[in-house]
Amino acid sequence: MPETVSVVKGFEPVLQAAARLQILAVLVQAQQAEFARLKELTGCSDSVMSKHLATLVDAGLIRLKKTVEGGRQRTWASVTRSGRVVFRDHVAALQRIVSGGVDPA
Amino acid sequence: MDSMREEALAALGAKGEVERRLAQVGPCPPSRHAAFAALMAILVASPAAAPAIRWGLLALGLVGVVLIIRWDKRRLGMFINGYRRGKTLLVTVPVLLLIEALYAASFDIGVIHGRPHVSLVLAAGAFGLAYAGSTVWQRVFLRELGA
Repeated sequence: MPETVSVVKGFEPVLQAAARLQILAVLVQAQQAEFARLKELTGCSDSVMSKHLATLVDAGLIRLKKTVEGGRQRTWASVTRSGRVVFRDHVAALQRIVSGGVDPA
Repeated sequence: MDSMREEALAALGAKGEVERRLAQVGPCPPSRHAAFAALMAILVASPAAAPAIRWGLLALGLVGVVLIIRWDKRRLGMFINGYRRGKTLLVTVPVLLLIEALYAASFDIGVIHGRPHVSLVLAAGAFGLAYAGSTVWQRVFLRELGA
């Protein structure tokens, strides 16, 4: 996305990657989602999904929890409170860009 | 500016696409709606039971909630909270208020006025109400996601 977009109010550069935006879009609807389900919904590979999740965790937008079920380790993701706000503001910024009502930060 | 708009449109399109995929995964089998309805019916029926059994029924209800969450997580690989924000709250809040009113009526008639069979009739009503509420909730949720 062009450099100028990142100065639009509410726009979150971390969510510039479509897969990361999609992960948050799922997590604001589902309280918790498992790694494999997120992978399937977004069409990412294991390694790409791991990197996206790590980036979102580093940004404080999601949290991860590991559990063991049936002898298999599973990773569950959930959105943080700030992640929910950032996602909402980011989507609003995208909608303003589309409608032509961009207001620089 | 045009490329910015195109990129924003593409991002919103990607968001909409994953929401539609989520909606395709989301629909529950009738047994899931019935499980929720059964929990609500147990709650409303509980005043009909003797005090010791009543507490057991309420504990059973709590265990049932945990089991439903586990079932959803195993079945869907995710858990969608009934109290989520959005248009579904327009279904969740009235259904829970009605269930609460049925419980209060059940307690008043079953315990205070000593007519426990009425509690069972109210529990049957709670089952129907909760089942219908759960299916309507799902319809609203799927529509909200653009399914």
